Amino acid sequence: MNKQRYYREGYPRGFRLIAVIASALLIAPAVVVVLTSFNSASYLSFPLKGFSVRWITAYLTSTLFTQSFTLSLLLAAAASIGALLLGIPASIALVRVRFPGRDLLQALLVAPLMIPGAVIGLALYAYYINIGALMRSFPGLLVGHIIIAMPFVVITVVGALSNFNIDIENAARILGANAIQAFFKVTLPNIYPSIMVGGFLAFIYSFGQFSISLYLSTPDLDPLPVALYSTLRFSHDPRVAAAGAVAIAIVVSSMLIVNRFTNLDKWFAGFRF
Amino acid sequence: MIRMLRENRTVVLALPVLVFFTFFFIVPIFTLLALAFNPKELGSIAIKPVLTLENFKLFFSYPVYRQSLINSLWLTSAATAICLLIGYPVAYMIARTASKRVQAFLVILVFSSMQIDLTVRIFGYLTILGDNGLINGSLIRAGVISRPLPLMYNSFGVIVGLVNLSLPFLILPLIGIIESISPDLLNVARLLGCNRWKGFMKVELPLSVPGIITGVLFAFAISMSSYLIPVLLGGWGRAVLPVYVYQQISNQGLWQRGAAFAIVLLLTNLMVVFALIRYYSRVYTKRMLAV
Repeated sequence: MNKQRYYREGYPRGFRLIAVIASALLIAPAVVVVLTSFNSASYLSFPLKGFSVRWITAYLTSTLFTQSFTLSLLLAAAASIGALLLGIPASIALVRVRFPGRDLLQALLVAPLMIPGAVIGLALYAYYINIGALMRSFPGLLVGHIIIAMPFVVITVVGALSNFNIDIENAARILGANAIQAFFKVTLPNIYPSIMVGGFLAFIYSFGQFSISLYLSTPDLDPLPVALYSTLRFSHDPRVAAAGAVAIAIVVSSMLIVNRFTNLDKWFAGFRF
Repeated sequence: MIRMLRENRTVVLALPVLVFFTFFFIVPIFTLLALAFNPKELGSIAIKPVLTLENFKLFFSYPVYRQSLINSLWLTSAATAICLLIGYPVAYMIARTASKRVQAFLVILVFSSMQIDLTVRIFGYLTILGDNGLINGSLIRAGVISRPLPLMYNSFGVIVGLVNLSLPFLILPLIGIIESISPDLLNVARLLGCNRWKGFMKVELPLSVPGIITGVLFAFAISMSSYLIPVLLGGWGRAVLPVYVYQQISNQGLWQRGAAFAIVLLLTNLMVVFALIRYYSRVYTKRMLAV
Protein backbone atom coordinates (compact mmCIF):
# COMPACT_ATOMS: atom_id res chain seq x y z
CA MET A 1 0.00 0.00 0.00
CA ASN A 2 1.67 3.17 -1.14
CA LYS A 3 1.04 5.34 1.86
CA GLN A 4 3.24 8.15 0.67
CA ARG A 5 1.20 8.68 -2.44
CA TYR A 6 -1.98 8.43 -0.48
CA TYR A 7 -1.06 10.78 2.27
CA ARG A 8 -0.88 13.68 -0.15
CA GLU A 9 -4.60 13.29 -0.57
CA GLY A 10 -5.18 14.11 3.04
CA TYR A 11 -8.26 13.10 4.93
CA PRO A 12 -11.86 14.02 4.25
CA ARG A 13 -12.58 17.40 5.80
CA GLY A 14 -13.37 17.20 9.47
CA PHE A 15 -11.90 13.77 10.06
CA ARG A 16 -8.88 15.05 11.88
CA LEU A 17 -10.96 17.17 14.25
CA ILE A 18 -13.31 14.31 15.06
CA ALA A 19 -10.40 11.97 15.60
CA VAL A 20 -8.96 14.44 18.11
CA ILE A 21 -12.27 14.60 19.97
CA ALA A 22 -12.52 10.82 20.05
CA SER A 23 -8.95 10.52 21.30
CA ALA A 24 -9.65 13.04 24.03
CA LEU A 25 -12.70 11.06 25.07
CA LEU A 26 -10.68 7.87 25.29
CA ILE A 27 -7.71 9.33 27.07
CA ALA A 28 -9.50 11.62 29.52
CA PRO A 29 -10.36 9.16 32.30
CA ALA A 30 -6.87 7.68 32.35
CA VAL A 31 -5.20 11.09 32.51
CA VAL A 32 -7.47 12.19 35.33
CA VAL A 33 -6.81 9.06 37.36
CA VAL A 34 -3.07 9.44 36.98
CA LEU A 35 -3.21 13.10 37.98
CA THR A 36 -5.41 12.37 40.99
CA SER A 37 -2.94 9.79 42.24
CA PHE A 38 -0.33 12.51 42.58
CA ASN A 39 -2.62 14.54 44.78
CA SER A 40 -1.13 15.27 48.19
CA ALA A 41 -4.49 15.64 49.93
CA SER A 42 -5.67 12.70 52.01
CA TYR A 43 -9.08 12.51 50.40
CA LEU A 44 -10.30 12.21 46.85
CA SER A 45 -10.45 15.64 45.34
CA PHE A 46 -9.89 17.43 42.13
CA PRO A 47 -8.26 19.81 41.33
CA LEU A 48 -5.03 18.90 43.02
CA LYS A 49 -4.14 20.33 46.36
CA GLY A 50 -0.49 19.60 45.86
CA PHE A 51 1.91 17.23 44.22
CA SER A 52 2.97 14.14 46.08
CA VAL A 53 3.89 10.55 45.44
CA ARG A 54 2.99 9.34 48.87
CA TRP A 55 -0.20 7.56 47.84
CA ILE A 56 1.53 5.73 45.03
CA THR A 57 4.30 4.66 47.38
CA ALA A 58 1.81 3.62 50.02
CA TYR A 59 -0.10 1.55 47.54
CA LEU A 60 2.90 -0.16 46.02
CA THR A 61 4.14 -1.21 49.44
CA SER A 62 0.83 -2.28 50.92
CA THR A 63 0.08 -5.95 51.46
CA LEU A 64 -3.14 -5.41 49.53
CA PHE A 65 -1.13 -4.77 46.45
CA THR A 66 1.71 -7.25 46.80
CA GLN A 67 -0.43 -10.27 47.57
CA SER A 68 -3.10 -9.57 44.98
CA PHE A 69 -0.47 -8.62 42.42
CA THR A 70 1.27 -11.98 42.70
CA LEU A 71 -1.97 -13.88 42.39
CA SER A 72 -3.09 -11.83 39.41
CA LEU A 73 0.30 -12.35 37.78
CA LEU A 74 0.21 -16.13 38.23
CA LEU A 75 -3.39 -16.30 37.12
CA ALA A 76 -2.80 -14.23 34.01
CA ALA A 77 0.29 -16.24 33.07
CA ALA A 78 -1.54 -19.54 33.47
CA ALA A 79 -4.60 -18.24 31.65
CA SER A 80 -2.67 -16.94 28.65
CA ILE A 81 -0.65 -20.15 28.38
CA GLY A 82 -3.83 -22.19 28.59
CA ALA A 83 -5.53 -20.02 25.99
CA LEU A 84 -2.53 -20.40 23.68
CA LEU A 85 -2.39 -24.19 24.10
CA LEU A 86 -6.06 -24.53 23.25
CA GLY A 87 -6.40 -21.66 20.83
CA ILE A 88 -3.47 -22.14 18.47
CA PRO A 89 -4.51 -25.63 17.31
CA ALA A 90 -8.07 -24.41 17.00
CA SER A 91 -6.98 -21.47 14.86
CA ILE A 92 -5.09 -23.79 12.54
CA ALA A 93 -8.21 -25.87 12.07
CA LEU A 94 -10.33 -22.77 11.58
CA VAL A 95 -8.13 -21.36 8.86
CA ARG A 96 -7.05 -24.49 7.00
CA VAL A 97 -10.09 -26.74 6.98
CA ARG A 98 -13.54 -25.84 5.75
CA PHE A 99 -15.67 -27.92 8.09
CA PRO A 100 -19.37 -27.59 8.87
CA GLY A 101 -19.88 -25.28 11.80
CA ARG A 102 -16.60 -23.48 11.24
CA ASP A 103 -18.10 -20.01 11.41
CA LEU A 104 -20.07 -21.03 14.45
CA LEU A 105 -16.97 -22.24 16.25
CA GLN A 106 -15.14 -19.05 15.42
CA ALA A 107 -18.03 -16.98 16.73
CA LEU A 108 -18.16 -19.14 19.85
CA LEU A 109 -14.49 -18.61 20.61
CA VAL A 110 -14.79 -14.86 20.19
CA ALA A 111 -18.11 -14.56 22.04
CA PRO A 112 -16.63 -14.21 25.55
CA LEU A 113 -15.30 -10.82 24.49
CA MET A 114 -18.82 -9.50 24.10
CA ILE A 115 -20.47 -11.12 27.07
CA PRO A 116 -19.88 -9.21 30.27
CA GLY A 117 -17.46 -10.93 32.59
CA ALA A 118 -20.13 -10.85 35.25
CA VAL A 119 -22.42 -13.11 33.22
CA ILE A 120 -19.66 -15.64 32.58
CA GLY A 121 -18.60 -15.52 36.20
CA LEU A 122 -22.17 -15.97 37.35
CA ALA A 123 -22.82 -18.84 34.96
CA LEU A 124 -19.65 -20.63 35.99
CA TYR A 125 -20.40 -20.07 39.66
CA ALA A 126 -23.89 -21.55 39.32
CA TYR A 127 -22.47 -24.38 37.24
CA TYR A 128 -19.78 -25.21 39.77
CA ILE A 129 -22.33 -25.35 42.55
CA ASN A 130 -24.58 -27.59 40.51
CA ILE A 131 -21.80 -30.05 39.72
CA GLY A 132 -20.35 -29.71 43.19
CA ALA A 133 -16.76 -29.00 42.23
CA LEU A 134 -14.29 -26.26 41.44
CA MET A 135 -16.13 -23.49 43.22
CA ARG A 136 -13.99 -21.05 45.13
CA SER A 137 -10.82 -22.64 43.88
CA PHE A 138 -7.88 -21.53 41.80
CA PRO A 139 -8.60 -24.00 38.95
CA GLY A 140 -12.17 -22.77 38.82
CA LEU A 141 -10.98 -19.19 38.60
CA LEU A 142 -8.38 -20.19 36.02
CA VAL A 143 -11.00 -21.78 33.79
CA GLY A 144 -12.95 -18.54 33.72
CA HIS A 145 -9.88 -16.56 32.78
CA ILE A 146 -8.93 -18.94 29.98
CA ILE A 147 -12.40 -18.51 28.52
CA ILE A 148 -12.25 -14.74 28.48
CA ALA A 149 -8.66 -14.64 27.24
CA MET A 150 -9.33 -17.00 24.35
CA PRO A 151 -10.77 -14.39 21.92
CA PHE A 152 -7.50 -12.48 21.94
CA VAL A 153 -5.50 -15.55 20.98
CA VAL A 154 -7.96 -16.73 18.35
CA ILE A 155 -8.38 -13.37 16.62
CA THR A 156 -4.63 -12.82 16.50
CA VAL A 157 -3.59 -16.28 15.34
CA VAL A 158 -6.42 -16.65 12.82
CA GLY A 159 -5.41 -13.33 11.34
CA ALA A 160 -1.77 -14.31 11.18
CA LEU A 161 -2.46 -17.68 9.60
CA SER A 162 -4.82 -16.15 7.05
CA ASN A 163 -2.10 -13.78 5.91
CA PHE A 164 0.55 -16.45 5.90
CA ASN A 165 1.33 -17.71 2.44
CA ILE A 166 0.67 -21.41 2.61
CA ASP A 167 2.82 -22.07 -0.45
CA ILE A 168 5.91 -21.88 1.73
CA GLU A 169 4.60 -24.72 3.80
CA ASN A 170 3.54 -26.62 0.68
CA ALA A 171 7.07 -26.25 -0.62
CA ALA A 172 8.41 -27.78 2.56
CA ARG A 173 5.99 -30.66 2.19
CA ILE A 174 7.06 -31.24 -1.39
CA LEU A 175 10.65 -31.32 -0.27
CA GLY A 176 9.82 -34.19 2.06
CA ALA A 177 8.69 -32.83 5.40
CA ASN A 178 5.60 -34.33 6.98
CA ALA A 179 2.80 -32.11 8.24
CA ILE A 180 4.14 -31.71 11.76
CA GLN A 181 7.70 -30.95 10.68
CA ALA A 182 6.49 -28.46 8.11
CA PHE A 183 4.44 -26.65 10.68
CA PHE A 184 7.06 -26.44 13.37
CA LYS A 185 9.97 -25.63 11.11
CA VAL A 186 8.29 -23.35 8.59
CA THR A 187 4.96 -21.91 9.70
CA LEU A 188 5.55 -21.50 13.39
CA PRO A 189 8.72 -19.38 13.11
CA ASN A 190 6.86 -17.08 10.76
CA ILE A 191 3.76 -16.52 12.87
CA TYR A 192 5.70 -16.52 16.11
CA PRO A 193 5.40 -12.70 16.58
CA SER A 194 1.63 -12.86 16.25
CA ILE A 195 1.46 -15.65 18.78
CA MET A 196 3.46 -13.52 21.19
CA VAL A 197 1.07 -10.63 20.64
CA GLY A 198 -1.97 -12.84 21.16
CA GLY A 199 -0.55 -14.31 24.32
CA PHE A 200 0.45 -10.91 25.58
CA LEU A 201 -2.96 -9.37 24.95
CA ALA A 202 -4.52 -12.34 26.72
CA PHE A 203 -2.18 -11.81 29.64
CA ILE A 204 -2.94 -8.12 30.04
CA TYR A 205 -6.65 -8.66 29.70
CA SER A 206 -6.70 -11.42 32.29
CA PHE A 207 -4.59 -9.33 34.62
CA GLY A 208 -7.10 -6.51 34.54
CA GLN A 209 -10.26 -8.59 34.63
CA PHE A 210 -12.43 -7.79 37.54
CA SER A 211 -16.03 -8.90 37.03
CA ILE A 212 -15.34 -12.57 36.53
CA SER A 213 -12.93 -12.73 39.43
CA LEU A 214 -15.51 -11.20 41.70
CA TYR A 215 -17.73 -14.24 41.39
CA LEU A 216 -15.09 -16.92 41.27
CA SER A 217 -12.35 -15.73 43.56
CA THR A 218 -11.06 -17.81 46.40
CA PRO A 219 -12.03 -16.65 49.86
CA ASP A 220 -8.52 -16.08 51.12
CA LEU A 221 -6.93 -14.30 48.22
CA ASP A 222 -8.40 -11.77 45.85
CA PRO A 223 -6.99 -10.92 42.47
CA LEU A 224 -5.86 -7.33 42.21
CA PRO A 225 -8.89 -5.72 40.56
CA VAL A 226 -11.26 -7.29 43.09
CA ALA A 227 -9.25 -5.92 45.97
CA LEU A 228 -9.29 -2.59 44.16
CA TYR A 229 -13.05 -2.68 43.76
CA SER A 230 -13.60 -3.49 47.40
CA THR A 231 -11.53 -0.53 48.42
CA LEU A 232 -13.37 1.73 46.01
CA ARG A 233 -16.71 0.70 47.39
CA PHE A 234 -16.06 1.04 51.06
CA SER A 235 -13.84 4.02 51.40
CA HIS A 236 -12.75 7.07 49.51
CA ASP A 237 -9.14 6.14 49.92
CA PRO A 238 -6.81 8.02 47.58
CA ARG A 239 -4.84 4.82 47.27
CA VAL A 240 -7.56 3.78 44.85
CA ALA A 241 -6.37 6.43 42.45
CA ALA A 242 -2.84 5.19 43.00
CA ALA A 243 -3.94 1.66 42.19
CA GLY A 244 -5.60 2.91 39.06
CA ALA A 245 -2.52 4.86 38.03
CA VAL A 246 -0.31 1.81 38.49
CA ALA A 247 -2.70 -0.32 36.43
CA ILE A 248 -2.70 2.29 33.68
CA ALA A 249 1.08 2.47 33.71
CA ILE A 250 1.34 -1.31 33.37
CA VAL A 251 -1.08 -1.42 30.46
CA VAL A 252 0.36 1.50 28.52
CA SER A 253 3.95 0.36 28.88
CA SER A 254 2.96 -3.13 27.79
CA MET A 255 1.24 -1.72 24.72
CA LEU A 256 4.29 0.37 23.90
CA ILE A 257 6.47 -2.73 24.07
CA VAL A 258 4.10 -4.78 21.95
CA ASN A 259 3.75 -2.06 19.34
CA ARG A 260 7.51 -1.79 19.14
CA PHE A 261 7.74 -5.35 17.89
CA THR A 262 4.66 -5.75 15.78
CA ASN A 263 1.89 -3.99 13.86
CA LEU A 264 -0.95 -3.70 16.32
CA ASP A 265 -3.12 -1.98 13.74
CA LYS A 266 -3.24 -5.22 11.81
CA TRP A 267 -4.58 -7.14 14.78
CA PHE A 268 -8.08 -7.61 13.50
CA ALA A 269 -7.00 -7.74 9.88
CA GLY A 270 -7.45 -11.38 8.91
CA PHE A 271 -10.69 -11.83 10.77
CA ARG A 272 -13.93 -12.26 8.88
CA PHE A 273 -17.45 -13.00 9.92
CA MET B 1 -7.81 -20.20 -0.62
CA ILE B 2 -7.98 -23.40 1.30
CA ARG B 3 -5.47 -25.61 -0.37
CA MET B 4 -4.68 -28.58 1.77
CA LEU B 5 -8.31 -29.59 1.96
CA ARG B 6 -7.55 -33.25 1.67
CA GLU B 7 -5.92 -33.01 5.09
CA ASN B 8 -9.25 -33.04 6.79
CA ARG B 9 -7.84 -34.73 9.81
CA THR B 10 -6.35 -31.36 10.75
CA VAL B 11 -9.77 -30.51 12.06
CA VAL B 12 -9.13 -32.61 15.15
CA LEU B 13 -6.90 -29.79 16.31
CA ALA B 14 -10.07 -27.89 17.10
CA LEU B 15 -11.40 -30.64 19.34
CA PRO B 16 -9.65 -29.79 22.62
CA VAL B 17 -10.92 -26.21 22.63
CA LEU B 18 -14.35 -27.37 21.55
CA VAL B 19 -14.53 -29.76 24.47
CA PHE B 20 -13.24 -27.14 26.85
CA PHE B 21 -15.69 -24.52 25.69
CA THR B 22 -18.58 -26.93 25.69
CA PHE B 23 -18.01 -27.93 29.27
CA PHE B 24 -17.02 -24.58 30.68
CA PHE B 25 -18.82 -22.08 28.52
CA ILE B 26 -21.80 -23.49 26.65
CA VAL B 27 -23.07 -25.77 29.40
CA PRO B 28 -22.78 -23.20 32.19
CA ILE B 29 -24.56 -20.57 30.12
CA PHE B 30 -27.31 -23.03 29.31
CA THR B 31 -27.48 -24.01 32.97
CA LEU B 32 -28.09 -20.40 33.78
CA LEU B 33 -30.64 -20.04 31.03
CA ALA B 34 -32.44 -23.20 32.06
CA LEU B 35 -33.03 -21.59 35.42
CA ALA B 36 -35.18 -19.03 33.66
CA PHE B 37 -37.81 -21.65 33.00
CA ASN B 38 -37.91 -22.81 36.59
CA PRO B 39 -40.37 -21.43 39.10
CA LYS B 40 -38.82 -18.92 41.41
CA GLU B 41 -37.17 -20.20 44.55
CA LEU B 42 -35.44 -17.96 46.99
CA GLY B 43 -31.70 -18.47 47.13
CA SER B 44 -31.56 -21.66 45.15
CA ILE B 45 -29.56 -22.25 41.99
CA ALA B 46 -30.34 -25.93 41.63
CA ILE B 47 -32.10 -26.85 38.43
CA LYS B 48 -35.53 -28.37 38.87
CA PRO B 49 -37.25 -30.44 36.20
CA VAL B 50 -40.21 -28.10 36.13
CA LEU B 51 -40.95 -25.84 33.20
CA THR B 52 -42.80 -22.60 33.51
CA LEU B 53 -43.02 -19.24 31.81
CA GLU B 54 -43.97 -17.34 34.92
CA ASN B 55 -40.71 -15.43 35.08
CA PHE B 56 -41.11 -14.12 31.57
CA LYS B 57 -44.74 -13.21 32.18
CA LEU B 58 -43.64 -11.32 35.24
CA PHE B 59 -41.11 -9.38 33.25
CA PHE B 60 -43.55 -8.17 30.65
CA SER B 61 -46.32 -7.42 33.10
CA TYR B 62 -44.46 -4.76 35.03
CA PRO B 63 -44.04 -1.39 33.26
CA VAL B 64 -40.81 -0.86 35.18
CA TYR B 65 -39.18 -3.86 33.58
CA ARG B 66 -40.57 -3.18 30.13
CA GLN B 67 -39.28 0.37 30.39
CA SER B 68 -35.83 -0.90 31.28
CA LEU B 69 -35.73 -2.84 28.04
CA ILE B 70 -36.67 0.26 26.08
CA ASN B 71 -34.06 2.26 27.99
CA SER B 72 -31.46 -0.35 27.15
CA LEU B 73 -32.32 -0.22 23.49
CA TRP B 74 -32.34 3.50 23.08
CA LEU B 75 -29.28 4.20 25.24
CA THR B 76 -27.30 1.50 23.47
CA SER B 77 -28.41 2.68 20.03
CA ALA B 78 -27.49 6.27 20.81
CA ALA B 79 -24.13 5.27 22.20
CA THR B 80 -23.36 3.01 19.24
CA ALA B 81 -24.37 5.69 16.73
CA ILE B 82 -22.07 8.20 18.42
CA CYS B 83 -19.31 5.59 18.50
CA LEU B 84 -19.67 5.10 14.78
CA LEU B 85 -19.60 8.82 14.05
CA ILE B 86 -16.51 9.59 16.08
CA GLY B 87 -14.83 6.22 15.78
CA TYR B 88 -14.80 5.93 12.00
CA PRO B 89 -12.40 8.86 11.53
CA VAL B 90 -10.06 7.37 14.11
CA ALA B 91 -10.02 4.01 12.34
CA TYR B 92 -9.56 5.83 9.06
CA MET B 93 -6.60 7.77 10.34
CA ILE B 94 -4.94 4.70 11.83
CA ALA B 95 -5.38 2.87 8.54
CA ARG B 96 -4.30 5.67 6.23
CA THR B 97 -1.78 7.82 8.00
CA ALA B 98 1.74 7.83 6.63
CA SER B 99 3.21 8.91 9.97
CA LYS B 100 4.24 5.95 12.07
CA ARG B 101 4.14 8.04 15.19
CA VAL B 102 0.55 9.13 14.76
CA GLN B 103 -0.42 5.58 14.00
CA ALA B 104 1.42 4.22 17.02
CA PHE B 105 -0.08 6.85 19.29
CA LEU B 106 -3.64 6.18 18.18
CA VAL B 107 -3.29 2.42 18.20
CA ILE B 108 -1.80 2.36 21.68
CA LEU B 109 -4.53 4.73 22.82
CA VAL B 110 -7.27 2.48 21.50
CA PHE B 111 -5.75 -0.73 22.81
CA SER B 112 -4.96 0.70 26.21
CA SER B 113 -8.53 1.90 26.59
CA MET B 114 -9.65 -1.62 25.98
CA GLN B 115 -7.27 -3.19 28.46
CA ILE B 116 -7.51 -0.76 31.35
CA ASP B 117 -9.92 -2.06 33.92
CA LEU B 118 -13.38 -0.59 33.58
CA THR B 119 -13.51 0.35 37.22
CA VAL B 120 -10.51 2.60 36.76
CA ARG B 121 -12.07 4.31 33.75
CA ILE B 122 -15.34 4.84 35.55
CA PHE B 123 -13.49 6.32 38.47
CA GLY B 124 -11.92 8.77 36.04
CA TYR B 125 -15.33 9.73 34.66
CA LEU B 126 -16.75 10.21 38.12
CA THR B 127 -14.01 12.72 38.72
CA ILE B 128 -14.54 14.49 35.41
CA LEU B 129 -18.32 14.65 35.24
CA GLY B 130 -19.25 15.09 38.87
CA ASP B 131 -20.79 18.22 40.31
CA ASN B 132 -17.46 19.13 41.86
CA GLY B 133 -15.50 17.50 39.15
CA LEU B 134 -13.14 18.71 36.51
CA ILE B 135 -15.62 20.15 34.02
CA ASN B 136 -18.03 21.73 36.46
CA GLY B 137 -15.27 22.91 38.75
CA SER B 138 -13.38 24.73 36.02
CA LEU B 139 -16.49 26.23 34.46
CA ILE B 140 -17.73 27.53 37.79
CA ARG B 141 -14.40 28.99 38.71
CA ALA B 142 -14.09 30.65 35.33
CA GLY B 143 -17.44 32.21 36.00
CA VAL B 144 -19.13 30.72 32.96
CA ILE B 145 -21.88 29.05 34.93
CA SER B 146 -23.10 29.51 38.46
CA ARG B 147 -24.55 26.10 39.14
CA PRO B 148 -23.05 22.76 38.15
CA LEU B 149 -24.28 21.17 34.94
CA PRO B 150 -25.93 17.82 35.43
CA LEU B 151 -23.44 15.68 33.55
CA MET B 152 -23.81 12.60 35.62
CA TYR B 153 -26.59 10.41 37.05
CA ASN B 154 -28.56 10.84 33.87
CA SER B 155 -28.62 9.63 30.27
CA PHE B 156 -25.78 11.92 29.27
CA GLY B 157 -23.35 10.36 31.73
CA VAL B 158 -24.41 6.86 30.76
CA ILE B 159 -23.97 7.52 27.06
CA VAL B 160 -20.55 9.07 27.59
CA GLY B 161 -19.53 6.02 29.58
CA LEU B 162 -20.94 3.59 27.04
CA VAL B 163 -19.17 5.36 24.20
CA ASN B 164 -15.90 5.13 26.08
CA LEU B 165 -16.54 1.44 26.69
CA SER B 166 -17.41 0.35 23.16
CA LEU B 167 -15.36 2.76 21.05
CA PRO B 168 -12.26 0.51 20.88
CA PHE B 169 -14.40 -2.44 19.87
CA LEU B 170 -15.87 -0.49 17.01
CA ILE B 171 -12.56 0.95 15.82
CA LEU B 172 -10.47 -2.22 15.76
CA PRO B 173 -12.36 -4.23 13.12
CA LEU B 174 -12.72 -1.11 10.98
CA ILE B 175 -8.98 -0.56 10.76
CA GLY B 176 -8.35 -3.84 9.00
CA ILE B 177 -11.15 -3.35 6.50
CA ILE B 178 -10.15 0.19 5.61
CA GLU B 179 -6.55 -0.88 5.16
CA SER B 180 -7.66 -3.46 2.64
CA ILE B 181 -9.26 -0.84 0.40
CA SER B 182 -6.72 0.03 -2.25
CA PRO B 183 -5.87 3.74 -2.39
CA ASP B 184 -5.84 3.45 -6.16
CA LEU B 185 -9.60 3.34 -6.10
CA LEU B 186 -9.73 6.75 -4.51
CA ASN B 187 -7.15 8.05 -6.95
CA VAL B 188 -9.28 6.92 -9.85
CA ALA B 189 -12.30 8.67 -8.38
CA ARG B 190 -10.32 11.87 -8.00
CA LEU B 191 -9.07 11.58 -11.58
CA LEU B 192 -12.64 11.27 -12.73
CA GLY B 193 -13.49 14.55 -11.07
CA CYS B 194 -14.67 13.93 -7.50
CA ASN B 195 -13.53 16.16 -4.69
CA ARG B 196 -12.09 14.55 -1.58
CA TRP B 197 -15.32 14.20 0.34
CA LYS B 198 -17.28 12.85 -2.61
CA GLY B 199 -14.50 10.40 -3.34
CA PHE B 200 -14.78 9.16 0.21
CA MET B 201 -18.56 8.89 0.18
CA LYS B 202 -18.82 7.13 -3.13
CA VAL B 203 -15.80 4.85 -2.99
CA GLU B 204 -14.32 4.24 0.42
CA LEU B 205 -17.39 4.38 2.61
CA PRO B 206 -19.42 1.74 0.74
CA LEU B 207 -16.41 -0.55 0.61
CA SER B 208 -15.92 -0.25 4.35
CA VAL B 209 -19.46 -1.29 5.23
CA PRO B 210 -18.48 -4.85 6.25
CA GLY B 211 -16.14 -3.34 8.80
CA ILE B 212 -18.84 -0.95 9.96
CA ILE B 213 -21.23 -3.81 10.51
CA THR B 214 -18.67 -5.86 12.41
CA GLY B 215 -17.74 -2.91 14.57
CA VAL B 216 -21.34 -1.96 15.25
CA LEU B 217 -22.13 -5.55 16.20
CA PHE B 218 -19.35 -5.60 18.75
CA ALA B 219 -20.11 -2.16 20.12
CA PHE B 220 -23.84 -2.82 20.40
CA ALA B 221 -23.40 -6.16 22.14
CA ILE B 222 -21.01 -4.72 24.66
CA SER B 223 -23.02 -1.59 25.42
CA MET B 224 -26.24 -3.52 25.76
CA SER B 225 -24.87 -5.88 28.37
CA SER B 226 -23.00 -3.30 30.40
CA TYR B 227 -24.01 -3.18 34.03
CA LEU B 228 -21.40 -1.10 35.79
CA ILE B 229 -21.73 2.01 33.64
CA PRO B 230 -25.48 2.51 33.87
CA VAL B 231 -25.34 1.93 37.61
CA LEU B 232 -22.32 4.03 38.52
CA LEU B 233 -22.85 6.84 36.00
CA GLY B 234 -26.60 6.78 35.57
CA GLY B 235 -28.10 6.64 39.00
CA TRP B 236 -31.47 4.95 39.26
CA GLY B 237 -33.53 7.23 37.10
CA ARG B 238 -32.79 5.46 33.86
CA ALA B 239 -32.42 1.83 34.79
CA VAL B 240 -31.44 -0.58 32.06
CA LEU B 241 -32.14 -4.26 31.85
CA PRO B 242 -28.79 -5.60 33.14
CA VAL B 243 -29.38 -3.62 36.33
CA TYR B 244 -32.58 -5.55 37.00
CA VAL B 245 -30.90 -8.82 36.11
CA TYR B 246 -28.34 -8.15 38.78
CA GLN B 247 -30.94 -6.86 41.20
CA GLN B 248 -33.04 -9.98 40.94
CA ILE B 249 -30.05 -12.09 41.81
CA SER B 250 -28.22 -10.08 44.40
CA ASN B 251 -31.03 -8.23 46.15
CA GLN B 252 -33.85 -10.70 45.78
CA GLY B 253 -31.89 -13.93 45.62
CA LEU B 254 -34.18 -15.02 42.80
CA TRP B 255 -31.79 -16.56 40.29
CA GLN B 256 -34.65 -17.86 38.21
CA ARG B 257 -36.01 -14.40 37.56
CA GLY B 258 -32.56 -12.99 36.94
CA ALA B 259 -31.92 -15.71 34.37
CA ALA B 260 -35.23 -14.98 32.64
CA PHE B 261 -34.39 -11.28 32.45
CA ALA B 262 -30.98 -12.19 31.09
CA ILE B 263 -32.62 -14.25 28.34
CA VAL B 264 -34.82 -11.33 27.35
CA LEU B 265 -31.68 -9.21 27.12
CA LEU B 266 -29.84 -11.83 25.12
CA LEU B 267 -32.71 -12.35 22.68
CA THR B 268 -33.08 -8.64 22.07
CA ASN B 269 -29.38 -8.44 21.39
CA LEU B 270 -29.52 -11.41 19.02
CA MET B 271 -32.43 -9.88 17.13
CA VAL B 272 -30.43 -6.74 16.45
CA VAL B 273 -27.38 -8.78 15.42
CA PHE B 274 -29.49 -10.92 13.17
CA ALA B 275 -31.11 -7.87 11.56
CA LEU B 276 -27.71 -6.34 10.87
CA ILE B 277 -26.33 -9.51 9.32
CA ARG B 278 -29.46 -9.88 7.23
CA TYR B 279 -29.03 -6.32 5.98
CA TYR B 280 -25.46 -7.07 5.07
CA SER B 281 -26.15 -10.23 3.11
CA ARG B 282 -29.34 -9.07 1.43
CA VAL B 283 -29.25 -5.36 0.83
CA TYR B 284 -25.58 -4.48 0.84
CA THR B 285 -24.35 -7.38 -1.25
CA LYS B 286 -27.08 -6.86 -3.78
CA ARG B 287 -26.35 -3.18 -4.01
CA MET B 288 -22.65 -3.77 -4.43
CA LEU B 289 -23.21 -6.31 -7.18
CA ALA B 290 -25.77 -4.22 -9.04
CA VAL B 291 -23.29 -1.62 -10.28
